[in-house]
Amino acid sequence: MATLEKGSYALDVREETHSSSLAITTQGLSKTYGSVTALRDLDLHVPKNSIFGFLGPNGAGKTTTIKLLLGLIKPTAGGGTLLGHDITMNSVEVRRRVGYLAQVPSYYTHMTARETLRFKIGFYYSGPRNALEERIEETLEMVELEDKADRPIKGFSGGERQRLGIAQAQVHRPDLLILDEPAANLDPMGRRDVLNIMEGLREHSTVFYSTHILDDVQRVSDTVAILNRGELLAQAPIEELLAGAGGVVYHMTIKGSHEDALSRISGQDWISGISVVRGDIRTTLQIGVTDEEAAEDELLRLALGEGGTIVTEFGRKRYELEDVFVDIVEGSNGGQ
Amino acid sequence: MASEKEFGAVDGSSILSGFWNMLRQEDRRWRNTRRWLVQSAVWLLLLNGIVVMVLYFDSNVQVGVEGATPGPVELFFILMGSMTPFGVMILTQNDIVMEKQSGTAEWVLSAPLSRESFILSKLVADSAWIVAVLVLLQGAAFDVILIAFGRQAVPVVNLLGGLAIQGLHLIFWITLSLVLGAFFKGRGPVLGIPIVLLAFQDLIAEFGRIYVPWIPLLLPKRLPELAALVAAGEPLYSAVPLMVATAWSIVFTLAAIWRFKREEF
Repeated sequence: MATLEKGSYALDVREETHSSSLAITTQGLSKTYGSVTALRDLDLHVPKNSIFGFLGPNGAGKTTTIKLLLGLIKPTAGGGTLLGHDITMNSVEVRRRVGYLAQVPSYYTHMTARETLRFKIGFYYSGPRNALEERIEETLEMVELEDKADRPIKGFSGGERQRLGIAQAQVHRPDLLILDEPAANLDPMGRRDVLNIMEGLREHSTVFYSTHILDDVQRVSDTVAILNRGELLAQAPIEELLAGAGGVVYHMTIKGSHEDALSRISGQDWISGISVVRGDIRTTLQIGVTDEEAAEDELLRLALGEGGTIVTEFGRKRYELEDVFVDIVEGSNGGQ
Repeated sequence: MASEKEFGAVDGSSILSGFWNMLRQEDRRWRNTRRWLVQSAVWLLLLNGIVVMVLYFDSNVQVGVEGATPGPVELFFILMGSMTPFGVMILTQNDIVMEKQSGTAEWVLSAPLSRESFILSKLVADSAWIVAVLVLLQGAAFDVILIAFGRQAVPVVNLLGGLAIQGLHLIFWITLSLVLGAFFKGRGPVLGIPIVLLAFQDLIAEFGRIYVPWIPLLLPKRLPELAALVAAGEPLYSAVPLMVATAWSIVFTLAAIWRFKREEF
C-alpha cells in the first residue's frame, strides 16, 4: 500500500486493490456552480462490503458527491465508477445496483409504507407477485414498520420516515447502499435503531453514508473519508485514523512515586517526548515514541524497573474520532 | 426469505427504463385519490349542467350548428373548448414543479428510471385520465342528456370524431403545462402562461396576423369549433389546426424531455 501524505494524515491509495474489489471509485471528480467550487478533484476508493463513513462539516460537499455518484447532477470535471459502471455514461445501470436514502426523504404521500415499497421494488423486479410481497413484508419487519405498513405516510414521525427510507433503499437488496445523513434529525432512540439496521446490512451490501455525527461513525464504520470545503482531506480505515498520525503515543498511570520510572524511560533514544500530569496519588504520563516495536518490548519493563513502581494503567493512546476530525478540519482551515 | 433468483428482473436497458412502473404510479395518483371521481362530478356539473339548463329553459335551440342561436352541439363543444383547458392547467400545474420542489423527483430518479420515462409517464397518465374524464365521459353524458330531453342524439361516429379533436385540444394544453413545468421552478409561470395564452389567443391572432398572416394557425383556438363541426356531421374545412396542434404537442414533449434531462436535483 502506498500512501500520499496530505497534511499529517494519510490518504490511502490501495494500488494493489483491483477495481473489482471496490464499490466506488472516483478520479478528479469536481463540481462547480458558477464561481463556487462545491467539490474539487475527489479521488475516492470505497472497498466492497465496507461501512464507509463520509465525514465533513455542513457544506463540505458530501451531498454533492452523493448526487454526482447517482447521476442526479453532472460533474464539471472528472468521473467515477460504481460497481464497475461509469456514473455519467451508464447512470441507469448504476442506479439499478444502488439503494439511496436522501438527507430529507420524500415520498408520495398518498401511498402507504407498503405501497411505497411495492412501487420502489417495481423498478427492479416484475414478479412473481407472492415473492415480491414476501420481500416487502421482510423489509417492513426489518425496519419494524410492519404494524404501520398500511397507514398513509403523511402521518409518520421523523424516525418512522427515516426507517421507511432505509427500507425503500434496500428493498431490492442492492449491492451498494448510499445513505445521506441517515441519522440526522433523529432522537437518540431513532439514531440507535438506524445504526443497528446499518450494521445488520453489512453482510449483504456495501454501505456508503455521509454524516457529521462522529459518534455514529466511530461505532459502525470500518473506513472513513473526511471532506472539507469540497476537498478530500483524509481517507483511511478507521483504526488507522484513530491510532493517530502525529506519532505513536502511549499512556501510563503510575501509583505513588514516578520519578525513577521517568528517569529510566526518558534516557531512551526512541522517546520523542513525555508529558506528565501529576495527581495526589497517581501520575499520568503521555509518552511519545519514534520506534513502536521498541516501545512495545521495553516501555513497560523500563517503567517497572527492579520493582517498587506500581503501574496501574498502560496502553497505546487511542484517539477519539472527534480529536482526529477536528485536527484535520481545523488544519485545512488554517487553524481557524 | 425471498431471494433475487425467484424474481423476474425488469428490462431497463432502453431509454424507457422504469416507464411502466412510473405509469402505474401516475395512474394510482388519479385512481386511488378519487381525483377522477371529483373531476367527473365537477365537469358534469359545469359542462353538462349548463347544457341541461339551456335545454330546459330554451326549447327552441336547434340540434345543429346553424341558426341564430347556437345549437346544443355547438354550445357543448364551445363550452368544453373554453372551460376544460383551465381544468387541465389546474390538474397538471404540480406535475413536475411540485415533484422538483418536494424532492420526490430526486427520489424516483435515484431508482433506475430514465428522465424520458418520468416525463412520458405523466403525459400518458394525464392524457388518458383527462381525456376520459373531461372529454369522453362528458360527451357520453351529453348524448344521454339530448335523449332525455327528447332531442336527436349525436351519432356515435360524429360524436367520437368531435371528442377526438377536443382530446387533441386538451393534449396540447397538457404538453404545454409539462414543458413549462420542466423549464420553470415555480408554479406561477406554469399556471400563468397558459392562462394568458388561452385568454388572449383571439387578441394574439388578430394582432399577429397584421405582421405574420399565418399566426392564427399556430394557435389552438380553432379546435373547439372544428370539434363542433365534426360532431354535427359537417365537413372538416381544414386539417391544418389539427396538424399544428399535434406538432406543438410533440415539440412541447420533446422540449420537456430535453430540459428535464439537464435538470439537476
